[in-house]
Amino acid sequence: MSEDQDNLYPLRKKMLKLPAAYKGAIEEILREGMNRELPGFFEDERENLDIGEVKTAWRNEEAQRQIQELAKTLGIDEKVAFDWSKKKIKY
Amino acid sequence: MADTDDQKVLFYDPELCSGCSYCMLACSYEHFKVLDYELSNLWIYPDPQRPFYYIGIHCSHCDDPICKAACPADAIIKGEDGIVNIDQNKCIGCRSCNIMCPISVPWKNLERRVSFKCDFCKGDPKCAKFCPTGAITVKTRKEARELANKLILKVEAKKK
Amino acid sequence: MTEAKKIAFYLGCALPSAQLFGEAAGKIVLKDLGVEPLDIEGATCCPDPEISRTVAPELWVTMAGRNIALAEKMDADVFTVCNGCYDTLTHAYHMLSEDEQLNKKVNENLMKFGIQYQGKHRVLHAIEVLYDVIGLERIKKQIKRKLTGVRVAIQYGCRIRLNPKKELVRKFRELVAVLGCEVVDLESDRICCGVPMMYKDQKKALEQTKMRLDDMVKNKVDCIVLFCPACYDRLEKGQLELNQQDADYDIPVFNYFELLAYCFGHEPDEFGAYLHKLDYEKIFEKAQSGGKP
Ligand code: SF4
Ligand code: SF4
Ligand code: SF4
Repeated sequence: MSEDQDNLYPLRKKMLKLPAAYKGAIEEILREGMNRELPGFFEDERENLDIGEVKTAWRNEEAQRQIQELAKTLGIDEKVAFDWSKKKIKY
Repeated sequence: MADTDDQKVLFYDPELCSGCSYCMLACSYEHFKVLDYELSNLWIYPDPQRPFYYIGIHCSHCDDPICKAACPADAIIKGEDGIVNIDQNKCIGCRSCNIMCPISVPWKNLERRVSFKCDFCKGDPKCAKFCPTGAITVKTRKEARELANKLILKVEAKKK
Repeated sequence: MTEAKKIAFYLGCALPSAQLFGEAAGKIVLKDLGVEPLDIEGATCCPDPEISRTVAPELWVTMAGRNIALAEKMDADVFTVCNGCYDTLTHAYHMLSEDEQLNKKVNENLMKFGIQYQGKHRVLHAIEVLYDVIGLERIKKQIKRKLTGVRVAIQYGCRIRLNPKKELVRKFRELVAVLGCEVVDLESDRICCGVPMMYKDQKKALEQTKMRLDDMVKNKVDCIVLFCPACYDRLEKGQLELNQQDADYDIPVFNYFELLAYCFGHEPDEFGAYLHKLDYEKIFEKAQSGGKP
């Protein structure tokens, strides 16, 4: 429920939402398997420094699929109300 | 009081605490599902006498709790496990416990109009679980007493 | 500890992206020391010991087990520079070796992907790899130039100060002293950099960072050395944020691997030091001139 709706219906019970700082982190993990995104800029830099392509889950769809499946098996997606089609936490 | 020696309590060691205050956030999240320093059952303050040191205030779950004695509504219970807890359904929000506790652990939640205090997270203290430095730990009452005595001796030795 | 020819380098989230210099320098240094760093294919976030562990503890331990198991697949110990990752991975390691039922449940979920957690390999901190596995003597032999006259403050980070891990603090200090710099021990070494406060109160976090930085300025520290990417983030960004509010901080922050790579004779450009946002060059200039600013 958004802020203005709160004002519109002052007596309605507030919905429990994840704190903002938690929400972003959990979304990233369910989406990418990592805690933040990888901008393309850093991929170019990796080439310049000659340390090879990034091997972690960012560019590894199989790893992302595994984490998402784990989240579904363990019921985490339901617990935080994760919308798989939008890849976002609903509230 | 030998029979309470094995009860679990929190133990705070200022030598280890880095002041990160995550314990406070963990406590507020556990009880109110929000991150808010104001809604925590324990407090971390900067030590006014020692720069870069902190003071942690948390409930001792006293053997003979004065907060319980002060409550006019009999809302405070000391369980068999030694945990002192407020029954929010009975609490009338009079603040007697807030004032009587020597370290003012119970606090009144103005929104809910009743008092809250450390409930030991139903046996799994989140502050201790998430403390990154090991400054807050779960100890038996006996261990905690001994450790606290040692800490006092250490501080006094430093003063001399 | 036993010798290791190869070791899995668990990078976490910051090292392969915003703090590339840490990864690059780490790989250079390990190769110089005769240890092959292995990338872990498909490694995920550790996940972090605060948020994920609070909101989704089951997923937290399973993902951590998965990360260790991926390293085990390569028959190697795994190490990390991040104090948070170290905390998560060691925690999960202990939980999984002590709790048989949990172990069974985690493995059941992982086996679907053909991954098995065995717990036969160690989880190490970069400090342990350098100090115990490789050893100070072997490091000293590789050192070609020193950071003479540079005043360095060490940011240990909260998590390695946990009681049984206190050893790490001593070892880290010795590792820094080997570089020939002046190690500046500060009263404020013990305080938090401010990261956990960012979740709730950015002002409070900035005050905390400022307290730490002010102590360094007072004691004429030239640069900060650390391993933890979270502390790095706060100490560097903190300075930039404070500078926007009329302050004038300029204490560059380095991953320990970078300073080590420099002392091994590598040029800062080789490990991407140009990605630092504060003036890092003055430190190397000072070292070359033998400590004169
Ligand atoms: S979590 Fe631990 S180190 Fe951080 S403020 Fe609380 S007691 Fe101190
Ligand atoms: S609230 Fe205060 S008086 Fe009551 S048990 Fe805790 S420390 Fe003792
Ligand atoms: S034991 Fe639980 S309720 Fe008590 S201070 Fe710690 S986190 Fe708060």
